Amino acid sequence: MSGNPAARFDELIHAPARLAIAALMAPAEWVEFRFIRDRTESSDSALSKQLATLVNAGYVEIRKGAVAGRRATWFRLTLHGRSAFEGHVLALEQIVADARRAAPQPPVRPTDTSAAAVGAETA
Amino acid sequence: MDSIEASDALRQVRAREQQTLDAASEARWPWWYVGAIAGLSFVMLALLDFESGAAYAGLCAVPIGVLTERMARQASVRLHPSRYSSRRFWWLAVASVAGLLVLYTLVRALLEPLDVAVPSTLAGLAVAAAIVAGAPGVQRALHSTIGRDER
Repeated sequence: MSGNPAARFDELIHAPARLAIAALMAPAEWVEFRFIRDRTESSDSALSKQLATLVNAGYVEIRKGAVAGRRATWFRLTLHGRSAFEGHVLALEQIVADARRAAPQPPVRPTDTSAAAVGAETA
Repeated sequence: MDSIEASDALRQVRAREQQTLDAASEARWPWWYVGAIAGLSFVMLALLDFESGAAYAGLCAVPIGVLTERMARQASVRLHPSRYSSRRFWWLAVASVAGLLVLYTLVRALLEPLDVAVPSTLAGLAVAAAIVAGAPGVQRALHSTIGRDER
């Protein structure tokens, strides 16, 4: 793989559940636990486990608070986490681009400029 | 990893990012927030009718700022600033405040010949009503500033 030096495949983020979580967080400054849980259709415990992995890696940080009397928890990508996610996405893009370049191109048919062909088109 | 797997992962990333952007676009300001901003604006403008109250009018900006921050903190999705088109966002903010100022000035000018005792209070009522009525439109326009950052 060659190209963008920021591209870096990240095994920790690439796990499907964690990739989904990181991608949901990427456009946001903060996202609430319930939002991630509902979008990923995970159980509270499964999501907590994945989030704990990301928190322990220093990719995600937590804020606790309350909304309308109920306890709520928000998460966001840290600078380190955002950089890792963006590097991972670049690495994926790089893999796809490299594969496209390596794929055999379909043969290009030469343009037929013979008098017969021109005549056939103008007829 | 092969390119098909990478391509699927990229598709999933884009779809998830879009879910967050959609959620932010569908969010509505809570009624308590719109009501409080309208109420505080009314109080601020009503204070201008009283010589001793005018000095305190500026203080109303403090709870407006606090409430705005609190409302933003409680949202289930708070978008990263890079996802707003900042030029359009600031134009919208300036246009909204300018619109309210124009309304306030116009109502006061209309009340001037009538020699009303509390012109600023009445103009403040018009401003508060405009905030409540205009909030959904401003929020729709605000959502139109949501976009993608450039990777």
